Amino acid sequence: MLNSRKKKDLILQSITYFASFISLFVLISILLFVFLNGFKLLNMDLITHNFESTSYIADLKDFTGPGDFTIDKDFNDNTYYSSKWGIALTDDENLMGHTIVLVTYVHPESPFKDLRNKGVATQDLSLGIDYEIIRIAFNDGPSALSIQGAQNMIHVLDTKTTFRELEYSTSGGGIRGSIITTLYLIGLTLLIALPIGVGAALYLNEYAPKNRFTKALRNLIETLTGVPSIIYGLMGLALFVPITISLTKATGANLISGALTLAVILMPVIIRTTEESLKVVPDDYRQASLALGGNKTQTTFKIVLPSAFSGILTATLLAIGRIIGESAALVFAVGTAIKDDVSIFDKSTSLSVHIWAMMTDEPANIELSTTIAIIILVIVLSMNLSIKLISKRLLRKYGVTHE
Amino acid sequence: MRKILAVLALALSFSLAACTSGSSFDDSKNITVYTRDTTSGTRAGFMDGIGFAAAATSDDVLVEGFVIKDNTGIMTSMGTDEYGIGYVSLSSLNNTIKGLSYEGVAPTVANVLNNTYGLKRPFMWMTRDAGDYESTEIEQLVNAFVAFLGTSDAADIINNNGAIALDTTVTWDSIKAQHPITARNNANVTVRFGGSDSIQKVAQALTQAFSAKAGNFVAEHDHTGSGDAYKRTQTIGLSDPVSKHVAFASRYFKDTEKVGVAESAMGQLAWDAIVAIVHKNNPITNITAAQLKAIYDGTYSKWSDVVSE
Repeated sequence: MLNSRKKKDLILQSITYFASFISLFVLISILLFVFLNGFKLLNMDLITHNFESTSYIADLKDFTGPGDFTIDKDFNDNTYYSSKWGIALTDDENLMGHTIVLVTYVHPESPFKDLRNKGVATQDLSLGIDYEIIRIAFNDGPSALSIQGAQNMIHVLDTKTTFRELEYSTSGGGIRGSIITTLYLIGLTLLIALPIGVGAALYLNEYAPKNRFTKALRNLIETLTGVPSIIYGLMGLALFVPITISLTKATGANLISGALTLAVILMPVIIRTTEESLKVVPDDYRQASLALGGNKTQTTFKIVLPSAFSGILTATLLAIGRIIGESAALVFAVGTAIKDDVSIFDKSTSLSVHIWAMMTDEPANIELSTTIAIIILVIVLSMNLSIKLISKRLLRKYGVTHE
Repeated sequence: MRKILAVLALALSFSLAACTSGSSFDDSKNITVYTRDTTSGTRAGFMDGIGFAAAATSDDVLVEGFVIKDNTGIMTSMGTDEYGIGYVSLSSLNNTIKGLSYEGVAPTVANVLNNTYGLKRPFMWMTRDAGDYESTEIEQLVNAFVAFLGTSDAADIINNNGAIALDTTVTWDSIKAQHPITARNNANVTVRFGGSDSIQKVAQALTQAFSAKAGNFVAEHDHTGSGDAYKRTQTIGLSDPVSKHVAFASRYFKDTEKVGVAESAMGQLAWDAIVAIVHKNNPITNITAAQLKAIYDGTYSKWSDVVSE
């Protein structure tokens, strides 16, 4: 008897070990995948730079001929310097992981410092460091292209005495605009979803009569969590986009319609979580408040609501996680155009839609996608920690410790 | 704590064990055949090239058990599936997979340019009909862009992005006077580009370079496939937001697509080579059109059939 129970216990116990082992294994493999793929491209420039790069077309101005710009300076192995032109070029990778030829040094008197703009703008150009050289074209012979590398470009330059055209650009590929969009979306969505969600939860828990209708309503709200988010996206496209176009200066999908769509997605989560936390507020509190002469409304808003504060924070946290992670709905409701100048009346991409855009590129940019995933993980983690900190502070202040 | 560490160590060793696998190639294994879907220009170019034109538009003639994937899907599958075979554009080829020589000629840009590499397809462009634009500015910019495609400046950009430009010596400097629209500020003009997604990278580089030369007009890119090049420039009206001013196809236009399109509204801008790719452990380095056809129609089902030839 005792022996068989021991066996049973052992089996049950090992099932729990096994289950936790599987979940740990899955978690670690995801983390490993994300970090191994994405760590290489992770740097500050990615977060601060614009996505769009600007191209410039230029040629030489008041040019008499190349000079002698020999300098006493050590360069890296993959950097090549032309003493005839006073310019150093490096083989490098840009923020998106594509190989480029980067300007790493320009001599102060180099002819590259004094360029004529061949575009429509009249102001002169000057080549500085951190620009990418795309091509240098010559009147005699083929052009030097960035795909052939920095060494070839310097070699070709050294054999020429002038060039016809220089094409260079700022480095693009940054995700600054998408980070700003994500923050906007979080703010706007919470602004819409929290009051409505918390209000609905208060009604359901405090005011609603306990009858069939309330039960049906609650079930319906719970069912909403199972609807695929792409359906919400289509609803946003069909309903919120036209509404925002007619009410604001927006002309197409925009951040407001995206926030409205997200708010609808989040409503069930917020209502559910808030209601759970309202349920655990002890009835003694309500009765005490009523006994002291407070009416129903005062009791609800001044006693019950502050006591449920930690639950509302949890709801907010869940909501933020969902907003950052959502992509399917936003592809329809906000669009997939990556923007640097974010306006709430215009299309833009959140970080997860940015990943979507990178994965639909030809060929898909898996490295940059996982790098953005790391950034999302860091944002979620820091928000988690800060909200926990805030809630601890507030709880101490209000003195409600019913957890 | 010690228990947690033990579980962690176990998890790590499991994941490491899953990663390391034997690298010996067993040629008695069945070939897994990968292909693009029937709307793909790469597929049309590949099937026409190996003499299996019936497979360009129909899945029924292909070997049983083939796998349909997009460009990226074929690349990543070939990195893990030792017994797979697929095909991609030369511009997508990288060192995670093995590109096979075709009829004894290595897939390099030089071999495509000197016309020895046989498996290639054209990159084509198509514009809207004359007068079918929102404004004359857009029409003039489109005409200027088409002229730019024939210059050596555009050829540089095309070559720089992995495709192979047509031979030309005309420079943009020598013809830009014919397109006065490019001398003014066009920052408020938007031109919509679309069509084949295989050309997207090249097309974006071209419009970025041309925008700097033509008053910084805005180029909006939305690439959905070669089939949409004709549809969205010719059959879809301007009021529809998906309509395009210029669109690209990574295959020759079909006869049905040329009906009613002026000769000046379409043309070729470049060549692109298609490369048959396999896993790095695969010992074969060269493949012929006949072998590829035999693999894709199911005559050869095992790798030993290919190797024994």
